[in-house]
Amino acid sequence: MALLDIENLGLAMTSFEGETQILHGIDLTIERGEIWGMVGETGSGKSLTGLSVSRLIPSPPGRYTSGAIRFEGQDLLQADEPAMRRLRGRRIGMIFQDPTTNLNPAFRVGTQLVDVALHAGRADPSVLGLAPGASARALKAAAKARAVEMLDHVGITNPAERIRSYPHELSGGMKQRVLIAMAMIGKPDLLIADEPTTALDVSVQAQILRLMHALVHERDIGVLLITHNLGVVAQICTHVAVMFRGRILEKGPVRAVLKHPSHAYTKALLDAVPRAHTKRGELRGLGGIDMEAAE
Amino acid sequence: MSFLRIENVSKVFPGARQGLFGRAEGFRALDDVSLSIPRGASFGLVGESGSGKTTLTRCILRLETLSAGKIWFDGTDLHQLPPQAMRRLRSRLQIVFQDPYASLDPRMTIHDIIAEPMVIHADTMPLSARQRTERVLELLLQVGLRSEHLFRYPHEFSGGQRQRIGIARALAAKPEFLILDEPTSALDVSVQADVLNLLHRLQDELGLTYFFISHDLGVVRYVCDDVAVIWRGKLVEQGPVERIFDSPQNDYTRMLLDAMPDPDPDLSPFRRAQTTGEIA
Amino acid sequence: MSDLTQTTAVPKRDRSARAENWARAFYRFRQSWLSLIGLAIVVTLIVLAVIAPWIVPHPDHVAGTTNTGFRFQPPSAAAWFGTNELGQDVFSLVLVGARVSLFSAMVVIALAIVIGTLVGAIAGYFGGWIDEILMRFTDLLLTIPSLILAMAVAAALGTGVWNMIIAITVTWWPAYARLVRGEVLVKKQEQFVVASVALGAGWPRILGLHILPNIVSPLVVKASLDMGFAILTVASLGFVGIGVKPPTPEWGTLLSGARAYMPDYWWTAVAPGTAIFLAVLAFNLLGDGLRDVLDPKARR
Repeated sequence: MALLDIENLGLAMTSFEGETQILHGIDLTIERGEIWGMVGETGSGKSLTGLSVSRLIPSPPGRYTSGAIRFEGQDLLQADEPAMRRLRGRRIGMIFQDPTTNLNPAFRVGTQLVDVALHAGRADPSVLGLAPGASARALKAAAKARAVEMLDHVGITNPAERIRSYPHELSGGMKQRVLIAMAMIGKPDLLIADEPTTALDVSVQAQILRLMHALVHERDIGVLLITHNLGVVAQICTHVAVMFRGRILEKGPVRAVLKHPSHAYTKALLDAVPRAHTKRGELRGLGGIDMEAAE
Repeated sequence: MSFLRIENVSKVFPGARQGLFGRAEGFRALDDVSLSIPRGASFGLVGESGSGKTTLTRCILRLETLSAGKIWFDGTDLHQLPPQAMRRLRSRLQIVFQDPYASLDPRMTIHDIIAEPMVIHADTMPLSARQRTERVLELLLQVGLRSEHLFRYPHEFSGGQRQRIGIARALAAKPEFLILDEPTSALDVSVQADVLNLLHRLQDELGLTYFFISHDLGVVRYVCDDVAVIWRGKLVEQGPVERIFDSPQNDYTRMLLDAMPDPDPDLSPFRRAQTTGEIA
Repeated sequence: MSDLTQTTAVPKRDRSARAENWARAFYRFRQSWLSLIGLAIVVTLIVLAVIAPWIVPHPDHVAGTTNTGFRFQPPSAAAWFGTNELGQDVFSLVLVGARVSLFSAMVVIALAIVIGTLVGAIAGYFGGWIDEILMRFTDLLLTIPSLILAMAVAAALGTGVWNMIIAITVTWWPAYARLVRGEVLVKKQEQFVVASVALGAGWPRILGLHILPNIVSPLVVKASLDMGFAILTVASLGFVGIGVKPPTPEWGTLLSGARAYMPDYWWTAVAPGTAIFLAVLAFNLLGDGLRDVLDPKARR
């Protein structure tokens, strides 16, 4: 059984203009050990696809018009909110773009990590290495130990000290590491990362990508990496799906798609990235399928 | 003959007050920075966040005072100019900002935004309202927008279109020198390509000099003739683009080049280690 | 000019863009039925207040005529809210009383916005010692409990609608000065303001054209939320006997007059009390709705 199986997912959103179809039948299957890159331009629906998997799109305005999202066989679109809450932070981890707004500035990072660990531990004590029915005190102690362990794991030096820091005392890269630690704390099987390195410097980006890559191999999890950066996809993804206006135009193993794109849009997207020997004037915008011109 | 010359510029931000008279040690945002840009050239400045890139642009625009050094613009010492003369000179020295969502006044129409430089510099650019509107239209078409966009508001445009509006505004006062502060880093790659090509075309048509700031080495290589790498307020390396990119001398430059993710999957440092069966 | 422009006609200024913005704003406003109720009550109150003298059943009572034969009649078909100790129709008094209450509250808010914006904008934009002086003075006024200060000023100036308005305004503008100063400080850092500085714009242009129009939203929200409290303050001053003097009907004064006859003749108090309650509630609902429209981020 596939880890994640998105089948013919259709999503409509209601706004001032009325209801618009945003996703037109998304099909995507992610197995363990795979890192799926989802690339596309602003407004292509790639983030909404990621949010749909953790059911974070409020309804209204969102409405699923078709399809299913099966996580190890269980249809998430049919799951109720308590069931989803048990999955989020435990089986499905999420990392977002902006590390600054996703940490509460008023609490120490340790407090926030322990909170997530406790939440995961209450749903499933085995995550914290405890037997079912463990006492609240044991849970708390284990959650704290787990928080320190995770910080260490994502490469934060001196985690026992750092756990007492407030978010503003950390650099952008460190904050993103904390968020990854937070997403990984419940030992998730699926990680959804929405532009996890876009707000970071390239040198920090390289470190974060290395960290994510190592985590996947160590834990054998599946990853949906949403990004607009084809370089990032080429570096760490095993597979890639190219999205355009709510549809997946092309998908497959990363080398096949990026080396031998079959769709004109994928080709155009690749031609738009300046490379080492692109001469002045050689870069191509999206010309014929320009979204701006099309509106 | 250099058009813009930065001579040993340092900028120290004072530290926090300590007690009644004391102050903590200041923060050295720029440390003995020198560079020179000839007329008509594209000069790139590469650095990560906190490296001092933004402080340097603010110093060139005289939005900050200098702690030491001089900035010469076409033979004039910028920071010695009296305010009135500086105000007039601003029309020759313009900037395009990084974030096209924050750099346009949300309550003004595109017409009023692009016309603003002409209104401000009405003393040196005496235009009637009618002439101004005509020039705004001309600029709109020049940056690839259409005349029916004239009286719309910024929120009705996409990121790429807004950046074009920002460029049109910068061009309105007929500048000779344009600071481009990460003009494409908030845009999609496809849109970025169009904006970069637009910048190339405008440079050819109008003979502009570019000071191009970016953290994206690929973009800098595509746009610029010369490049300087800034790290913690210091220029660690500068020279022609080919030389810097093909044979970097400085460790930091090398690290930056290595960290750039290349869109070729075969160049991935992760894949080299990993030999799992994938379609070749 | 170039031949490019010869071939391109200048398009008409597009009014529809503006109209569409309004339609969008109203769409967001409609998402909350509570704010719609608030808006409905506020509009009704204002309309009623404007036309009150011509529609009330006993305009003569409002002018001061008494009818002692009919004092303390309970609510009936003839007098919907009953009559008071002078035999006057309470319904007529309350309806006409809305005029003074709403009018004074609106003028107070308008004056407070004008003074507060002036002080706050200058302090925020120029900073330094100008900011220090203006803001310390503002803080000083803020430290004095506003109702007590208003009472003191009103007592010193004597009674009358305008004196009451001045008294309340003195205590209200500092809050606006603080708000405007904070907003100006934030907007000063915005990129489009820096862009304007880089273009060579002077301070009157930057402040008047770029900063102030962009802080209208928080001001409108605060003003609509404050309207309720302003009405309450006007009524409070009326209640303690400083402010509007009878026979001019005003909600606070009416309530104060009714106090002596509670609880036997409850209707004399219930009518003006309900009016105050409704007005304050409606303006608060409206203010919340406006905040949702003008500052969508605050909703979460």
